[in-house]
Amino acid sequence: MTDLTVQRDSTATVGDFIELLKPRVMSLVVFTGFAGMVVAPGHLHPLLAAVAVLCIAVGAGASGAINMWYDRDIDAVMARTARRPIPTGRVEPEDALAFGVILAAAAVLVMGVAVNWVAAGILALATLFYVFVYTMWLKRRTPQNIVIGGAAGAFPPMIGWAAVTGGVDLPGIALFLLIFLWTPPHFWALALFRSGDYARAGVPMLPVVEGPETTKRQMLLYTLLLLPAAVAPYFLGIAGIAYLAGAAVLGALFVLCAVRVLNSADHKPAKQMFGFSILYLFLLFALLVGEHVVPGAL
Amino acid sequence: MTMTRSDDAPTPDTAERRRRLRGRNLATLAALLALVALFYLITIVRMGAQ
Repeated sequence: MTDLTVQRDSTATVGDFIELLKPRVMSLVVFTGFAGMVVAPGHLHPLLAAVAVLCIAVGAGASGAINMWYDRDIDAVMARTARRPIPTGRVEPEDALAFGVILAAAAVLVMGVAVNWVAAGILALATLFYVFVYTMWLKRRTPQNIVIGGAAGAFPPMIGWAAVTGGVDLPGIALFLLIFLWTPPHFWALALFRSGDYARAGVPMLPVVEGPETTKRQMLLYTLLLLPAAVAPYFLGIAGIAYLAGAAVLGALFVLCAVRVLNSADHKPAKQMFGFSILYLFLLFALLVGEHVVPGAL
Repeated sequence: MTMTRSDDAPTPDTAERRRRLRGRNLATLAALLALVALFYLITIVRMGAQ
């Protein structure tokens, strides 16, 4: 009889596990979730509000860790992701999976117990959607992967809204729609100058499958659709005139970025548009929050 | 034949590996203590609201 027990020589540091949580992605998710809480009518104890933000952050991070576990094969062949903890061997895949699943379950349970079960339910839905619908089902099968899968990243403001109100209302859905329509031009800008990476990994991003010209036209279409979605919070009564003006100006600049990308053959405008898309979303939600925290601004 | 590498023939334990393991253990301890404190505070706040 052979009893072979081999101890795994794990060299992962705390920092490696934090890297699994995709901290940079998490920061925007946390901010939009926080904004959803700030603009929602009602009151939530500051400690419970902090717990809600923490749960959104941990839930998003956990989804990222599970995504890195599942995508470890394609991460290894893409220059942008090859230095991640699993492809470099710093974290064992099964450790990353366990870490992600435990954190995701903890985030949902704590949200339910401390805040409310509607917010917890949407957090669970967002996590399951990101893992099963986007990562496992759509990402490797269709160029519409980030269009449908983008819904997962659009949930945080709705979770924040539900944490305060205990329900899902039209303004919460409007904030969801804003991020949902922002996601395609944001990711396609990245995919345009990283299309070689995606092609090598066999990920059917739109520039790989349909080519750059179709992608650029689609990006312009989504920036145009984003214009009315971005000003909707004003007409729904959760934003003021400063937000309306900011959304209009930022929206026009985003459209301008898309037009520059459409009219250019090189990658520079796409890189600039990718950078601007992050600034766009951050400023839009900063305006939304600013109007609610600065007395008399709304 | 019985080979139990984890007990009988451990992998070379370098100072670096031990330091990393210690860091992870301390982080786990800190997370558990933070969770205990968090649940205590949540209970106080929720009881106060009722």
